[in-house]
Amino acid sequence: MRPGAGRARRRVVAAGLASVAVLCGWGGAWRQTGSAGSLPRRLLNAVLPNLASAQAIGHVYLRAGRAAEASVERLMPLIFAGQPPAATSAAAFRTFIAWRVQRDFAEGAVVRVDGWMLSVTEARLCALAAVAAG
Amino acid sequence: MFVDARSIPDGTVLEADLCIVGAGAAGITIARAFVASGLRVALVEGGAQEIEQDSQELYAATEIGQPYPDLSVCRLRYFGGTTNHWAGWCLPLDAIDFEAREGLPYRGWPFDRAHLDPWYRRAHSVVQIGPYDYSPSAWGIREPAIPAPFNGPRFVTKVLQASPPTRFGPVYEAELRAAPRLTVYLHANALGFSTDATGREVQTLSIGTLSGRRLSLRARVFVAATGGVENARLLLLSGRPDGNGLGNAHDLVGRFFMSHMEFVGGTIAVSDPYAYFDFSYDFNATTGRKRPFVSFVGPSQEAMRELFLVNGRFTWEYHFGQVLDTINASRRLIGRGGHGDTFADILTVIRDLDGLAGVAARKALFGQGLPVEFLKVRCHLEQLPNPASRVTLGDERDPFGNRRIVMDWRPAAADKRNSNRLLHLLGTEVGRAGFGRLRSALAEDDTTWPDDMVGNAHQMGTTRMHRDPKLGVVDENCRVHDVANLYVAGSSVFPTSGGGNPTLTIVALALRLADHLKERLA
Ligand SMILES: Cc1cc2nc3c(=O)[nH]c(=O)nc-3n(C[C@H](O)[C@H](O)[C@H](O)COP(=O)(O)OP(=O)(O)OC[C@H]3O[C@@H](n4cnc5c(N)ncnc54)[C@H](O)[C@@H]3O)c2cc1C
Repeated sequence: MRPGAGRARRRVVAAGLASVAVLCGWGGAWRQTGSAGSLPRRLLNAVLPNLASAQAIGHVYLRAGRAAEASVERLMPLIFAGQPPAATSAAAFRTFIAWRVQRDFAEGAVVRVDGWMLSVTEARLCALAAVAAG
Repeated sequence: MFVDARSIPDGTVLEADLCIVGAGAAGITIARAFVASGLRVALVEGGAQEIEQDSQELYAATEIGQPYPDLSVCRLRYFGGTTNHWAGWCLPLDAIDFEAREGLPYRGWPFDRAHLDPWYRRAHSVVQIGPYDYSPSAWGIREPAIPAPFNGPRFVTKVLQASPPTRFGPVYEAELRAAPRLTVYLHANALGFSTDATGREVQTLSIGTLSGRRLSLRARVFVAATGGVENARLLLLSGRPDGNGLGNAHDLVGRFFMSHMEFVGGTIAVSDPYAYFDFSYDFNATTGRKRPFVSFVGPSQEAMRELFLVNGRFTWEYHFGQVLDTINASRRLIGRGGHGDTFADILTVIRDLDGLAGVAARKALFGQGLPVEFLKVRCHLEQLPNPASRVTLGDERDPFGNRRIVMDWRPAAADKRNSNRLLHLLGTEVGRAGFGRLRSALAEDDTTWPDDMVGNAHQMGTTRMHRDPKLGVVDENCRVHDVANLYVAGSSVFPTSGGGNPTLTIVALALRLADHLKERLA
């Protein structure tokens, strides 16, 4: 083993446990705020920096008979498939969302938004941007 | 020797060993195979050596189905046939196009693609194109240059080769003129084949000139090579006056008419602004020269098998811009241009989501010029064999008194479903690969087609090939079932239309038929 590798691994494990601790009890996890803001806000900042465009798409998605999804409480578990995110850094969010989007397309979990074929997850992220903005 | 039939005395009976009717790609290819054979060959051509209005008029038809290109304009009725204005794009059919497939009716050729390979190879020199290899690497397209998902497993990139395009008339005229026992009869319109009393052997071909002469031609063997629609018409006009045509015991002649369906299938908002794939155009911007090939994207054979799809191909029309600088202009200009009002927002969102991974590498490869904003997806799709899509004889008559064609082209619900499913697959694959997002131009129903949908000038299926006379007009040697000495050459014998343009396959089948006839007439 390389010198120092054990210590580095321990740090990663510790950070992982900390995020699980913060998030245990998924029901309220999305409300957690910190210096970087709420979980949905941090998620959106990480993956959709151009919020205005995402909001525009999100409104179109929700208006097409999906009013039932129009809340942060509903959208966050849908985006994360009911599982709280294991890590909440911007990089972790980007990796997770990229994986989800890719998997949606591979599995045919797609929706049409104004005719565009989007992955369900990316459409819901846009909806999240729309509802999080109020 | 070339002879103008108008100069032959009325009532003359001509003689030949082999009579080929129609001097287009198919007819000329067969005739060339016999130039040194010692056999007497008659190549009977309705037109002259240049286009003539009254000859062209003989091709007029009535249209009652889905709008189809005017048959008196898209087909050319003079020496060299429609190759006098074909575009020259060549592509063999895929192996899967020859296969019978479960759940997909009326498919399956009597032989497989490997059987036809030797003739495809020879056909390449006839249409003056490069090696019999359609893989991108054979044409200098390096594998890393092909963006995902067009490098497999669902979609593959292939090339179409460009014939000069070979104008069969001018290119092969000298060779035919020099052949000692071959006669090309011009202005010689075939009016119908007459058989013996049993109806099982053609004895004569009756010929008319628009100047009023009537001739007949006796031969041992006859080949109808008058084009994908006219072959059916000639059979329907032939045989006993009280009959329903030759080879038509099972009411198949004229049915199963297929074309390739062409339309803009949608728009792809492109995540990677440097996804420009230069090989989609036959113009090489670096050298300023035309390329002898162009690339396209099609479903892989594996994907077609797994998902019960039939063939087709997509080509791109790139649209460039400076999205980030002109996003509002895009919103105004493009938003109303068929991409929906959300185009600019979609582009922003997917570029955020798909990230910039790989862009630097692609920029290094293709980074000159403007970044790509979106591309239009041009579809060129196979039409499934459908007995209700057909040509028949109508009540209108041509100057010879022969009934004209009624064209009832009918792409069916199954074609619409296949188109939707191909586009759906394209949409999921470009999304999965992070290439972009698709906005399909197709309604999700089984019936409506986009306004720009057209059948192209590829006319196939009207005298389809099948070993079983109940399912095909001609047998595996292209001989009309139950008629001992009548053959058909051309795309009318195709049982399926596949993804490729037809002429290379027409020429390959014509070479194959010529080999068969050489043995028979030896
Ligand atoms: C604009 C256009 C572009 C095309 N581009 C391509 C392409 O890029 N790639 C491709 O593969 N294909 C292309 N095609 C199709 C291609 O032209 C045909 O597949 C090909 O010409 C068919 O060959 P053929 O010999 O069967 O028929 P034709 O070339 O049409 O020849 C039939 C011949 O029979 C003669 N004839 C007809 N009736 C009679 C009669 N009763 N008596 C005597 N003679 C008769 C005609 O005068 C003609 O000379 C294109 C077609 C068009 C219209």
